Amino acid sequence: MENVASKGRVAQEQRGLSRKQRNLLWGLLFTSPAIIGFFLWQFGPIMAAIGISLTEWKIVGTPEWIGLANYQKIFTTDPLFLKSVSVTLIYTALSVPASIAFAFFLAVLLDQKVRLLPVFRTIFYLPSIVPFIASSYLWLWLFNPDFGALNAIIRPLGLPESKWIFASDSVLPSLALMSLWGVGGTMLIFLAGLQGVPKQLYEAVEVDGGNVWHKMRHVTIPIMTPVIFFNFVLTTINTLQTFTQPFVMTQGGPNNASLFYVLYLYRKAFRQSDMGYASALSIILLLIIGVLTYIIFRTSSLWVFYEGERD
Amino acid sequence: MKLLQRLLPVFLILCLVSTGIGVMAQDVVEIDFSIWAGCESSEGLAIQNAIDAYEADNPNVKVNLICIAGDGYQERISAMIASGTNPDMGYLNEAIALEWASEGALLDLTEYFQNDPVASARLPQSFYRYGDNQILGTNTAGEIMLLFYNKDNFDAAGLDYPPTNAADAWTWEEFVDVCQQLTIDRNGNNAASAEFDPENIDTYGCNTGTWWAAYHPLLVSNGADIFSEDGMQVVLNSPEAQEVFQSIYDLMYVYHVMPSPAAFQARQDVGLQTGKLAMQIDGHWTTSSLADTEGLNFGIGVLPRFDEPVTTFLGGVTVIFANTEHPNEVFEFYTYHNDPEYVPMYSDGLWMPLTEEYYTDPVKRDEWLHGQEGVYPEGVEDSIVDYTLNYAVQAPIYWVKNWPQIMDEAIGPAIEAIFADEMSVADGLNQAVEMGNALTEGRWVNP
Repeated sequence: MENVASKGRVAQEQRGLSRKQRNLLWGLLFTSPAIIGFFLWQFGPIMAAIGISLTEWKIVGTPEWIGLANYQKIFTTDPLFLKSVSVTLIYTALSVPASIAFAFFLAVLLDQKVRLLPVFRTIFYLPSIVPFIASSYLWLWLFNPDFGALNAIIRPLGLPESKWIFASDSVLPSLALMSLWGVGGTMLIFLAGLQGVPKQLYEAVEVDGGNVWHKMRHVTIPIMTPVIFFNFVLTTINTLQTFTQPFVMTQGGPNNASLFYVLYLYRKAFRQSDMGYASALSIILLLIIGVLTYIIFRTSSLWVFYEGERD
Repeated sequence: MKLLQRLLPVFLILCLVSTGIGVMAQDVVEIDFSIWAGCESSEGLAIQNAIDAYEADNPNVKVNLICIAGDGYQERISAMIASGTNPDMGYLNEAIALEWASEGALLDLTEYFQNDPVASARLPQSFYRYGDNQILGTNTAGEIMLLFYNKDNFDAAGLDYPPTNAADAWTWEEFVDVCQQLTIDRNGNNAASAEFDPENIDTYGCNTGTWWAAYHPLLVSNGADIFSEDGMQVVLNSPEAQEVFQSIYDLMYVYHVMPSPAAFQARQDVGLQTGKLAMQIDGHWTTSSLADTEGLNFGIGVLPRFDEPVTTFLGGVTVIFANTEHPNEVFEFYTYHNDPEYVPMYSDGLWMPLTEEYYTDPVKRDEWLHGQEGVYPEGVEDSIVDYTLNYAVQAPIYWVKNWPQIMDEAIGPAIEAIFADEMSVADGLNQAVEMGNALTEGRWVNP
């Protein structure tokens, strides 16, 4: 046996590659589609956008090098940059916690043993596969102050009616409300996580005389924190890039109250054909998302619990 | 593998043959032309007619029609330009065209027009000019703003139809009065009556529209405008401009004769076609879709006036890109693609001719207006022809620099807030002026 093994080792060394190197090579080979794809379709364009952001370029003609002038303009003289950042951040602050909580709540409900469970799961998941455009048009109707379903429900209850997306102070909460409709994907991930919670822990709580709330507080939520964390990061990143709903439903109005960052960026690029400026905006968005994600990751050690981890 | 081996020779032969064809076909000039309509739409088919006519006259030229329907035309053309695969000629947004022309991306057509007596006789309002008074092109087709109405609503109320002759245009007070009589609640009371219930409106008397082309002619009629003549100032806060916006606002929120933007969005049935709207200010192109509506009895009048009767002349532009390899052939096709002789969209009511003789020569005029039965209603010799020749001013989009940014960022949001009843007229217009003045860059060409 020893003989065979040493022969093999000799053969390897003759080819000039150690086992480690060979593994690396095979690993790279098998991951190459993803790596090449990343460089061609993600990294390349990002680098190009950084380059373009340092130019004045109207799509036609040659880009003219202007250094950091676009960034300077964005940070000093552009009132709508700050407006769009604040709109996007306010919406994110409203929408992300609400969607996470709502998705978690739904997942807990759909984790119960009730009749017709698959039907309910399908019903609650279904909206998330409806294209954004279609659901935006649907909600345009629901939100209508005079004829929409939401005010029609509120009216008989004697509650104050809202102008929903047609007033500048209610447009962002309205859109955040609408975002709850599409939490199906998040809910599904929670559901998978819930099913992995060890049953004996619940039994232990029962033995100790704990009730439903104790199970939730001391077992479910701590064990689910990695899943909550994962969903939190993904939802935040996606929400910061919201485009379709304002594009279809409000065009940024009323009076720029729903001028989301990406909508603003899109206008700069394709309505005003100011590609240099739009690229600079996109790089700033990349940085904003990067910083926020970094903060979320750094604070995660305070509240995310991993099984097998020691204090 | 065996299959591959067998197919390989066939493939090679095909390659050789196609190269051969390519070499033989080199004498044929190919032109790519992009439009923002589907190839199977009536506009696409009409353009194909012009292509067929042109190809018959020029057997050595082949025109490829690129149809980009729906949203995203601007994005597609931008991407094509950036990658150098743009068409030779295409429709283009007016403001973008001026921007691109000044960057040298569009062919300067000044000399081409000068050397073509027919093309140079197009309506003077239809020319897009930049730089040193150079021509980048003309409208794809002419368009003006008009007052469309449903005759059945007028007949039911026993009212006279709106005037077709600009000299007899309604004053704003007369217009409001008619709007009130034509607005009917669910109990059958009109907006002039004391029992009128504005919470339950069945039929609206009028809708002026709230976009710039709707309010621009009313502003000019009242001696106001959106921009100062040098393009450096937004002048929407003049008393005359305030009066116009207040008047439109009052139609919605004081007289309740025009749907608010929210009500209009919800009440999908508010339109001339359904009889739930009696009058609508809109562009001439609307004629085509109204004429297509079975059983609709519509008419066309001139806009109400504040002081002088005025309408606005507007329309997208067709351009030739500077990197075309066949400028002469492309320009010749340019003159075909919107020639009423080849394109049926004029007698369809979608386009207005650009050549003056269609307005002045009675034979040509009848070809346009009465070439198809049941498209144009009576009186259009006044409400369209005379109105265009004698009362139509160029929209500011022809000459103001930085139009998209000013409209998107300063004027649009403020006007929207006024009509959504979020800001007072004075506050909204002051905001538009303040934000707009920070963005103005003057004119493309001095008058």
